[in-house]
Amino acid sequence: MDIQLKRGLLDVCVLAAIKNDDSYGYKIIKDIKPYMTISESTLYPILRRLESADMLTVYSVEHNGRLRKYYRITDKGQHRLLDFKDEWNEITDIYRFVTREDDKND
Amino acid sequence: MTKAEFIDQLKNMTAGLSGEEADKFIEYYSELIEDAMEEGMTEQEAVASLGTMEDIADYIKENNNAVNTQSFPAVTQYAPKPQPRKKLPVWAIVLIIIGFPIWFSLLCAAFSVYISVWAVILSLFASALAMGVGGIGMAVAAFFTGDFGMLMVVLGAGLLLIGIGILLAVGTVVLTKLYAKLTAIIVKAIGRQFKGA
Repeated sequence: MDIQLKRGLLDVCVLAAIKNDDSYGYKIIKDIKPYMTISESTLYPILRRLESADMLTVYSVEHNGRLRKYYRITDKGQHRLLDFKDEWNEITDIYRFVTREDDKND
Repeated sequence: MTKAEFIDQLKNMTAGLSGEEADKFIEYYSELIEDAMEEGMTEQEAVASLGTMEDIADYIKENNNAVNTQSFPAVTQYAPKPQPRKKLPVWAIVLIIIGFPIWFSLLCAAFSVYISVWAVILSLFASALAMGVGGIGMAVAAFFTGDFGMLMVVLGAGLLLIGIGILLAVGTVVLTKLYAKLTAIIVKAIGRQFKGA
């Protein structure tokens, strides 16, 4: 997949992975993997970017005697997911335009 | 590679980052290793699942850039964080207060020059109008002179006056537009100064 397109979609996928329940790094990767290839190292900058854009917040929870960071979506993050729905309609229009038959080609 | 070895290498790689940034990286990766081991991987497998050290180094570099420049991908749009306004140093404030009589009078002078140009434009409009009205008056009056020669002379002069009036009006409109544009540029430039560059 085109790298730019993928970057944008991954941001949305990360938000989608935490939209119902707060989640942590390992689980976010596991949840996204069936749909898109995502590595541990790609997730990190996305989480940082979404955090600095106020789309998610981070908190630590003690787990098995160590700290685990959980990510919680913000209203702004939820809003981003709603915007994505609208954008997707535009994208399907573009898809139709790109893949249309060359019917007037003579 | 064991977790400890991996963390050691990570520490070397993040040496260029601030302490806080480096700590966040290390916490992030060690948490992933722990979680992978909890899911049943061996320590070696868990470390291997994170990819090669070269890849991680690339990502660290990239992430460092991303955090510094706040460069976001084209598809996702975020509102930029408002830049905190820079505070003026004390000496600058003192200088502004002491220099008040100088810069304030200069400001007044500049402003009066600016206003006087508008006055010139206004007077040009007034003379164009006067010429037009006067010309029309003359042209009409020409028909009441009762003498053909006089009619021609006065009518001609009247029409000439109307013509000059129209040309002057057109010229003044152009001048007004230019000056308004200049005003907009100056206002914008001043606005930028106040927004804090």
